[in-house]
Amino acid sequence: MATTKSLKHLSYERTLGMTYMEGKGFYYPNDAVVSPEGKIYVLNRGQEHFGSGRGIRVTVLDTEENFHSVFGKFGSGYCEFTWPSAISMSPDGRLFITDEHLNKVIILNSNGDPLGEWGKSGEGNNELNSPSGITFDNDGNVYISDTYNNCVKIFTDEGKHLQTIGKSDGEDGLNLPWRLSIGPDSNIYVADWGNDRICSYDKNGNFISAYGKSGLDEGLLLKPADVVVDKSGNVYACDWGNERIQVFSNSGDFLEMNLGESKLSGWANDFFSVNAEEAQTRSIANLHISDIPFVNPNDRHEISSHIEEYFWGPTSLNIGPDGKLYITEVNRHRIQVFNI
Amino acid sequence: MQATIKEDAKLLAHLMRRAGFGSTYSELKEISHLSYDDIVDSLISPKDTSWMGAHVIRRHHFEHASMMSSRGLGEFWLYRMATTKSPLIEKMTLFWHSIFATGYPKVVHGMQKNYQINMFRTMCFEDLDSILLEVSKDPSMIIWLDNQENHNGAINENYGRELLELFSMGVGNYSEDDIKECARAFTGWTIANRDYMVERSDRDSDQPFGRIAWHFKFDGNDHDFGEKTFLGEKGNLNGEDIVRIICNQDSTARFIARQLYNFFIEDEVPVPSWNDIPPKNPEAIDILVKSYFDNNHSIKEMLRTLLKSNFFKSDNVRYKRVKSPVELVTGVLRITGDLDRPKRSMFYHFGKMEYMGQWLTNPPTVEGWHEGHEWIETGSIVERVNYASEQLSNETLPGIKKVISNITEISNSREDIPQNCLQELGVLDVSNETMDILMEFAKNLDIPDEKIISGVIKLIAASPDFQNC
Repeated sequence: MATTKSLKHLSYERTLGMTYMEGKGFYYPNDAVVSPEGKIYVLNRGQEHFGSGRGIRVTVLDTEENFHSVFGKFGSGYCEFTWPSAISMSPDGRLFITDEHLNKVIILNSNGDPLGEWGKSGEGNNELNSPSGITFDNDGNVYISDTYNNCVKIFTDEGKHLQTIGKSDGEDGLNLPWRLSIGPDSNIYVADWGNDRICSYDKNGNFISAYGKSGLDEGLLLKPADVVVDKSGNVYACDWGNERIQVFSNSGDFLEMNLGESKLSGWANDFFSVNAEEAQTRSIANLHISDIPFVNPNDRHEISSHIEEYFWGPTSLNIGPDGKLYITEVNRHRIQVFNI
Repeated sequence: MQATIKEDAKLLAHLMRRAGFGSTYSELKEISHLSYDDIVDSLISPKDTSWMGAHVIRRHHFEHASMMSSRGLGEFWLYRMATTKSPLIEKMTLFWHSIFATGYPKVVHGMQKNYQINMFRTMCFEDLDSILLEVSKDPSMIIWLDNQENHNGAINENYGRELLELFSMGVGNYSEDDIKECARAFTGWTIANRDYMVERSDRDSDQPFGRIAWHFKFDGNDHDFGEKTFLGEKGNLNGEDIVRIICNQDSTARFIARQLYNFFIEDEVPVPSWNDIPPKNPEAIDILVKSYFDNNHSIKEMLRTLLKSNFFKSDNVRYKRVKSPVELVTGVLRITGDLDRPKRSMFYHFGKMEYMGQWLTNPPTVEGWHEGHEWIETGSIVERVNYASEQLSNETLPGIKKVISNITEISNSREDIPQNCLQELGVLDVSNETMDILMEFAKNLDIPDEKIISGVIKLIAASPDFQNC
């Protein structure tokens, strides 16, 4: 059973995308951003054989799964990326991509043309050590999870450091933060990956609270990757280590969780329509087996590797202009869309 | 002050090279308060099994999180070998991986192979019966040796043949009829959703949503429940019975004993020659065989016997094994500390291991890799020497900084440096010829001490002595 409580906050709608090394498709999509016009820019890490970047790209589609384009280039040169880790769109429509190997921010227009880059390696205010999350406030300031510096840094869109948040050994301190978002209340929400919790800070960077404790049961978190907040103030946590999405009230009470319910996407149906042998053998397969003798029945990573409909590697959440929740799964190369 | 190397430190270093991937002098000092036997026991039953950890690796290497292709799982394992606090477990995992060699090109499923490696790790010290039973049910092995095509009334002998020839008894200890009866007993041992999963493997298809992990299925409708005769035993034998009968054979005990001797003590000839060429130390094999039968086929107790034996401790077997590329690269990485967090240099390290001739998790055939001097050939020796000397002389790496600092602290003169370098790198021995070269380099070059130390380390890494363990 995919859902343990009534579908009050999460209702599966459909799936977008499928695995393809190059071109139309995704290959290790680890983050996405949905534009106000409904275009989805999916950041693909690509293949890593011998450190090559085959398949590394941004795939552009829309919320109706119409394919538009791909762009982006592997490398370490100007506006190239090596380990692209997060993508966001500025209020004026430019794409900002962080690279957690090169420790820089790459700026492209919505067609993928290079516009600039900034950032360098280090521990100082203007430096980054494995940036892995990026978002904007309404003023166009850039918020970046600076993973191995254990903090969030706020910059102007030109890379001038404004403020550092969460750099502390105290309760407000972050430990290897991953993604982050700005809520409708203008507060900053951070997936505090290393501490198994979600932290919130006000717009001035003052610590407000932390949700969640380490664990596998409902309401507990294991290495959260992302967090978004809807208009009602409900908090959606991408519980990456537990391969699920959890919903909390704004005061941190557990409301609901979902393990994923994916069906075939439009692109996947297209694939099977021209690959008859696979379609035929798939049609007689039982992909919903529940009595698999798992080596570790508590290991959600192992379970999700066996059951295709479940989330496997959910690493990115976006609430689109249509008010739906877009969940990007790096290991399943797709986006599951939920009504919220 | 000139540090001295005690004989017991040399024995300890020998143990850690063979039962692990080597230890620096600092690491050896941390365990030197324990007796030799207690150290062996702690290697076999470690309290601390921590390593870098799966979560942090999967966060940065997405290929390691779903392992769609051929190298991610090997890189993932290399992280573990390079950072684990329980190296003997990884060494035994490698031991079983070398015996139950399962190649990637036919399985075409990295995660499934990773689950096989996990099974070797979990089972590595168990009794042989349990290990062989799990191997027989392992989905990667089933696909690798075609047991999904082994049907009631139409047997496929591939798994049955290799189980007897390469996994347990060795050629000359069974008949062709035994192979056929063995295959009959394993009919119906297959994987769930066989047709779809095989179709995907055949096409290397990761569509629509990446690989789907496999699991074992016993298909009673395809199993031959008829009477069989195997190695003289008659009855309605199934796969479990076959494994039980195999594990009770003296030839099986001798086969596993020789495999352990080959892996931990000194290089033997490749397995296909074992029926013609006797073991290097028959008395040692007898001792291990006795341990096997005295302890209900326990691999753990065989290993304990081996590591505490005089034939293991003997000076005569030290530096008599050529390091496999995995042992060489892992040993270097444990000294340099380069893999202190997930990083792209992993691709370089793993690629070098492959250039040296060992693609971890993708053995060339069902025979696995031929160990010993077959690792050393014109191309691979250049890779081995260049890799080790380049990495160990890289003063920017955290482990090398520490080694150089320690050597600087204990060296009173240039003449001290060669011996202190050998000590810090793991209480190593080198030939007199190598030592003369190190001494000449240390005494006669007019460069800063740090550069002398770095240079001596580079020469040690490039020496013939460093190729063995």
